[in-house]
Amino acid sequence: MRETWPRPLQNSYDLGLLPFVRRLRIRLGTFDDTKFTPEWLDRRTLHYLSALTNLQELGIDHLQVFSFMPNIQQYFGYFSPTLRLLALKEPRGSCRQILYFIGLFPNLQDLHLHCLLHNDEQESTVDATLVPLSAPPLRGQLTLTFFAWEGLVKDMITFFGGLWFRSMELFRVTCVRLLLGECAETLETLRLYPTDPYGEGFLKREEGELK
Amino acid sequence: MRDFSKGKRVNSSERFVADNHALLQHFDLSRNKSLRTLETTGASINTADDTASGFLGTILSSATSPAPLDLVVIYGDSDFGVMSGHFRCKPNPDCSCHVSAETRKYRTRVIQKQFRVFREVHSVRAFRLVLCADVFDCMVERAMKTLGGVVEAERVEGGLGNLCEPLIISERRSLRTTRLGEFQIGSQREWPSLGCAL
Repeated sequence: MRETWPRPLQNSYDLGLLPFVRRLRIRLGTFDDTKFTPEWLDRRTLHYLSALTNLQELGIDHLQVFSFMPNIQQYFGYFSPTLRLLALKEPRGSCRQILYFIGLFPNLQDLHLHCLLHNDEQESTVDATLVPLSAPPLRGQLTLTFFAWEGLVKDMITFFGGLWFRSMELFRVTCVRLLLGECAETLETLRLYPTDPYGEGFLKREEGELK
Repeated sequence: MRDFSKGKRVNSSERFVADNHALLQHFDLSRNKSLRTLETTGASINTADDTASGFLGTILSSATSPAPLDLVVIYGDSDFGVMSGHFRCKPNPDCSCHVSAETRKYRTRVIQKQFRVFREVHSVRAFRLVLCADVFDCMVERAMKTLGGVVEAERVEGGLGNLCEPLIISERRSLRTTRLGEFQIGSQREWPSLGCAL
């Protein structure tokens, strides 16, 4: 299947403008069955992406991390030297796979995750051997919304040697206590919402409703 | 002084006490030594209504950071009456063309009403109030005027209480690569979809 990218990507490439791009957001629409897989990245598109030599912020919706494994570095490695912010909405994959993806960017400071439908996919034997290629500094902002994936946070702490975010924005997050404790020495700014249905009880109830 | 941490304020029902305890368990700031800023949004304070002061007060009651604390309340375009359908405004130094005088008055009253929340929370933990307009460039002037008017009105009415002079700023606090029509975090209790991952 050949996927279509917006023409500005090609036009910008033709005009030599892609090295000036700082922020790339990949959204695939609102349909539940839309996934970002390697099928979206043919040779030509990868050629365009490789021209984003100064990309600092990358956002991807519905990234199917597992479908890019084990060669995910070939697809996103272009951004390794410059990327400072990564935003993932509903990424799919095991904890180790997501961590491996995050670890592709050794200069990452800010991380945004929205995982309402986080998967409890079992770690495969292959996943167990996956070790992130780097431990990004992650000293900027952490934004978590609709996040109940405590295991991912614990793995980040383990593999990245701790968390040192200076700023956090949290909404509907279960592992707030863990996060606040882990960043106790570094957290300077915290954004919360009085409408936050805090607490695991609410999320468990909601998960039950979703089923 | 009101003791939010023990749930003595806002009804004395067991339900609130239990929720308060859960809230403290969840958002326990007692170990954070470097916290300088607590941010929230005007929209979420409006939506939370009576529970906003309990929420913020309870959390701040656990804060032990010795540093002076800023409470930054962020107001977006919708707080000033600009709705999603109006994002294609032409270059104009004042977007008042999008907002009627009645709407402006109503929005001013809504923001002014929030000072009750600020006063109640301030009785738990002292902070400097920062009102932040996070709006489109064409709305900055209007937003700053509105916030300034709100503070002035509160001062005249004696509504500032023990709050020191609020700081009014205009700053981009939320990244905007999404359409305006999408929901802002916390502006609704049931938030149907992600508004701004990036």
